[in-house]
This record gives sequence, C-alpha cells and structure tokens, in this order.
Amino acid sequence: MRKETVSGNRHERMTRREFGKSALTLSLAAGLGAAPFACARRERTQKNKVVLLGFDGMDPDLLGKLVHRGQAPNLEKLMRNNTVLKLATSTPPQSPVAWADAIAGADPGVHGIFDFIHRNPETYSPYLSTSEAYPATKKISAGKYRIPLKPGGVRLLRRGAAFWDALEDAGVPCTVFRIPSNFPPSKGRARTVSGMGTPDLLGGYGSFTCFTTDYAVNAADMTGGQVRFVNPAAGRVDSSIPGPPNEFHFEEPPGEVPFTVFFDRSNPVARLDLQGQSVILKTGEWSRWLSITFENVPHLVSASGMVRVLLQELRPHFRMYVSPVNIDPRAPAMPISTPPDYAAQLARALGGPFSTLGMPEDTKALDHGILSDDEYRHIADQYHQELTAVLFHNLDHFDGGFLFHYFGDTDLGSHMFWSAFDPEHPMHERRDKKSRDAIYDYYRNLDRIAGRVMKYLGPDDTLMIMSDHGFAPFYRAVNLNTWLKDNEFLGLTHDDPEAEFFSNADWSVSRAYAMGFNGLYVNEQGREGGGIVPPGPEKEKLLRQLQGMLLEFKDPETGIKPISSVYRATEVYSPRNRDLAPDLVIGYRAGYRASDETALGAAPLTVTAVNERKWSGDHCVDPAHVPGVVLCNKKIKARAPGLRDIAATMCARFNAPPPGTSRGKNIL
Amino acid sequence: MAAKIEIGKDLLKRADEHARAAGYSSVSEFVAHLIERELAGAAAPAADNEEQARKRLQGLGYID
Repeated sequence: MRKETVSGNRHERMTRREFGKSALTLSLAAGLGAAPFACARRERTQKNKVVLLGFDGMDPDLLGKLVHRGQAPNLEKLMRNNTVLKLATSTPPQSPVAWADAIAGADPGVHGIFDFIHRNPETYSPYLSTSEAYPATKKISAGKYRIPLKPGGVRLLRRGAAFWDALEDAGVPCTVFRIPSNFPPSKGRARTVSGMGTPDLLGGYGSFTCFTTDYAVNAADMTGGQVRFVNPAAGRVDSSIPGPPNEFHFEEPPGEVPFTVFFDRSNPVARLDLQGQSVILKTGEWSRWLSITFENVPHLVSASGMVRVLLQELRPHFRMYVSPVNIDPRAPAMPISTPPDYAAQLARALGGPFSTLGMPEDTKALDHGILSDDEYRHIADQYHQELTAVLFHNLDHFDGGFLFHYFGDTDLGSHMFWSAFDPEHPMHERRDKKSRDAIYDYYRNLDRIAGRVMKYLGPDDTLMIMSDHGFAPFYRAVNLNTWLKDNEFLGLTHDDPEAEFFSNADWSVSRAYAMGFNGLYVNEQGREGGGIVPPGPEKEKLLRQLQGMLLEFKDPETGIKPISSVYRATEVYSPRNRDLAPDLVIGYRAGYRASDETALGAAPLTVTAVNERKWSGDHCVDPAHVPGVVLCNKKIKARAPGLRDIAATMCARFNAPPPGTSRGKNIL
Repeated sequence: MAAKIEIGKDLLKRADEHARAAGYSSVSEFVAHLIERELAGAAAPAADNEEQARKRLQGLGYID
C-alpha cells in the first residue's frame, strides 16, 4: 500500500482564509514597524519542539521500584534531572476528571467534569459526564425508511478552552493524539484524534461478541459483550456480527453482518468469509483489522466499522472472539478527529487503520474469562504497537510546535493484573502465575518508548512525561448507599439489592444519596426533584455530620476505616459549574473503592464486600494516595506540581498566554 | 482568543462585587460563566439514559 505523509508543517495546513488573515497581520505589523518581532516569533514557534507523553495511571512508587531494579533506564535519566517526581492528581482521581484538569489548567468547577457520571437532580438519573448523543430531527418518510433532514450527533460536555487552543492562537502548530475527555474532539485548528470516551460503532465503550458451541459458557451473566451459541453443520458455521440499530428504519432493527467459517477437516485451521474478505486463521491466531459495513438505507446510507477476530478453538468446541466494532478511521461514522479527515490521513500514511475505541483493550472479555491472560496481553500489545506507530510517524514529520501522545497501557495493566502482582490481594492465588510481572512489563515498554522519543529531540527541546494518577489495590468494595440507609440518611420503600438508580428510594425521608465512584449528594430542597433538606444552616449541619460519621465508619469484616478523607465541594471546586458537583467527594483508603452498586445508585444488603474481579487495581480513591508522575528533561522548579499546572507550563514553553480560565502555574 | 464586550458601569460594579463574593477570580470569568451556563442550558442532556450509563461504565470495565 502506498504511504503518504501527514505533514506537521503549519504553512502546508494553512487555509486560504488563514492565509489572508496572516497576510493582513503582516502588512499591518510592517506599517507599525513591528515586522522584526513578528518574524522572530514565527521563527521561534516553528523551531521549538515540545513533546508531552501521557502515561495513564503510571504510579510513582511502582516506577521508583522498577528504577531501583535498574529496569527503567530511560525514565531514570529523566528522574535524575529533578528531585520532584509526584504530580498532584484531581479530586476525585478519575481519568476523565484528571485529564480535563490538565486540558483546562483548572479544577472541575471550570471544566464541568466531576465524575464518570453525573446525575440529573430533578430525576436522580445518571448521565455520562463527558459527552452526549442527540437524536436526528425533522425526518421524512420514504417507504420503510425515515431520512433525517437534520442529522443527530454527539457533543462534548467538557467546558472551557483547551490549552492547545491557546497555543494555536499564538501560532504554535499542535498535534494531540488520543487525549482523554476530548470526544468528540473540541473544534479548533489543532490536529487531534479523540481517545478515552470514544465509543464503538454500537455507541458503547466496547462490546465484544463470542461465538461458541460450548453451552458451559455463562452467557446469562455476561456484561460488556455477548455470547452467541452456534450450531456447526457440514463443516461450517453461519452467524452474524451484531451492530447498531438501524435508526433509518421505522422498526429500528439491530444491524447484523453475516459471516461464514469453514473448518479444515484435518488441521486446526479455518477460513472466515466476511463481506467479501477471506482470511485463514489457525487456532490461537488473530486476524488483521477486517472492515465491516452496516447498510442502513441500501446504496444510500451505511456505517463503516472494523473488527479483529481471534479463532480460539475448533474442536471439540468451536469458539471465536470478535472485538468491539471500532469506528474505522478511514471513514469515521462519528467525529473522531480535527480536521475531520485527519484520522483518515493518518491511517493512509501508516498503511492501515488503527484502533479508535477509547480503551481498545478488552478488559470485559478478560474479566469474564472470554479471553485468557495471554490472549488479552497479546491483543493489547498489538493495539499498543499500532498507536506507537502513530507516535513515531508524527515524530518523523515533526518540524516544531507541540505534540501530545497518550498511552493507556499502565492504567489498564494495573487495573487488570494487580491481583496477579500483589500477594495480599484476596484473588492473588487464583491468577495465572505468568501474569505476576505483567504490570512491570507495561512500565518497561513505556520506558523503551521514552528512550526512542529522546533520540528525536535536541538539547533545547522539551520532553515531559506525565500521568493523571497513580494506583492502589482494590481489595474491598464499599456499598455507600447501604451505609447511608443503615444510618437513616437514605430511606428505601423496601430492601432490594437488585434495584438500581434509586428505583426503591423514598425521597420524602431521604437526606443524602451516593452515585458515581466518589460522589455523595444532599437531597436538597429546591434542587433535587424530591429534595427535603433546606439549603443553608440545615444542609451545613448535615454535611458536617456526614463528614464526621463517614471518617469514623469501620468495615465490619476487617475493622479498617475505608474512608480517609471527605472533601467539601465548596472547598475544592471553584463556583462556575459547582451546580453539577457532588456535595461531598469521598476519598477511599487504598484497598477500598465504591462498589459497582454505589456507582449505579443501588443499596445491596451488606455495607462492604470483597472484590473478586480481575479488575483488581483502581485509583478512584483519596487523591492524596494516588498522585501521578511528572518527568522532564528540564528543571522542574515547582515544589508541588499538579495536573492543573500542565496547561500553563505547555503555554509557557512557547511564551503563549494560557487559556483565560487556567489557574495553574508554569512548573519549569 | 479574548474579545471585549461593552457593559454599563453600574452593572459592571455590581457584577464585580458579586464575582468577588462568589469566589470567581475575575469579573470576566463570572460573565463568561453566565454566558456558558445559558448556552449549556440549551444543550443540556436531552434525555436521561440509565441503561446507557450502565453500559458505558461496563464498557470501560469499572463495573461488572
């Protein structure tokens, strides 16, 4: 396949309108005798190179241990420049919140993201904090189809400007690859590809499909994907890959792409035929990306996606894993880049597509045993290599300006392999012994990448490596709504551990409720739909009472106090968007996290429970326990740098003013 | 890029006093917030979708 270059040269990307503006600015400046300044500034911004690498979830203690073993020589070099290693994280330390802090250079009160999910105070219902899909309107009918005149779409809920907008305003060319909390990518002149938060073609954050003849696979309790049982006949399996519902059809039938698998009679090999593509796979072999198209209106409207397939077993049982349907960067069905064709340009330049799902590593399939540790690690490594290729392509064509590149390896690796690595984890003995060093493997990979990046940069260039938070074990889960019920802050009409989203709540007697991973809300009169606590002194008294009791609460099974800090919204958030914020932010002690049920507004029977999942490390705890890291080839002058300083620091490298709402400081 | 808007002196004085009392760093930030809030009101999440929230959290892996 022919490769083409996606140039980073700003002049080549300048539009006719920008050229006109630029020419006008230059002629005015010349008239005022300022031409030398204008020329000098452009010269400076063209030559200055600043690379910021985001290593999600890299933990300063784990990194320190690896450096001590002599197994992270490149990161160690950067560590030697500075005595500072820790980067203060966000409150709460959840990735969407943390990255938004870094992007805006400000707290959630400014950018408006306080948790993975927010609640509508009128209805107590959750909604996603980072983006929102809106439906098509004004449809016309054509037979069994309805064609929207005004199409639906998706909008970014993060508020305020991104620091790369300020850099672009100052004439600095910017490339930002897969930064979280930026789907759909905010409009601007920077070249961006969205990262965490980017859905699959079905609109979720990744839904796999497992095709099997083995009825021992527990399909009923499967979440994050589905199992389809198939019946081979005459040496073949016929089935279909599920897609998004066809919203152009009156009945909105689910999309399906049929395929056939032909078995070899004597060898562990099969041929997969899928929409005109034919691939031969041995058992245990992954396919390349396979294109699939869901046709919504024949010959008129379709949606392009792509999957990777693992032939897991042929005999005695057939079993095949199909990855979530990624948005195809060559023909994106949703906005994933700015300019809109940038993702396609990158795919062409790289000679093939790359994963676009916000978190392509399929943790759900691993958690449910659909993928083994080895299978998960193999495909995660493939995704890592694709995204690494993008970084080095961009560096190969980097003439100057700002470049950001994100890696999620250390985050997901720590989530999924903590129990294999930590002998104190209650599930440690159940894990594959081969996976005990898996977390450090991810760190070592990123160390090698850091070493390669350093070779691209000169002594005047800047390389900064940062993580959004560190990591902690997740041994036990706290059912915070159960604690609220037991202490008569939350009233229920009846006990029902299955009831979610407060469907059994009696709001007329409830004073507080918990939703999301760190949020606790007062049922405030005039704000909540069924609010009973008057704002003012009574609410203040309640908040103090809750703070005191939560800090004294002990896990009845272990005697440990699971909560180490309780933060007041009025003390940690600026006022702009505080109306979206929880009243209290719960800081869990390392080893504890809010339960799944707490996040979804449910109250199980027990107040704590052991975490039996492979998802065994976490960071949704007290921010004091999980700082991130910051490493730099320049001297870090700040004594206590934080995520909110990243925006001002990056702008200062180019003498550009940070976004008006930025509150951080230049740390260099 | 920052732009200027005109506002009466009396209103500016009142806005400045309120911004300080409410903890804003400047009156500009306060005014920008008011405008953003109005615009966001028109774009508030159209429909609560409990199932979507659950599926997305499951998709991320944070819940089972």
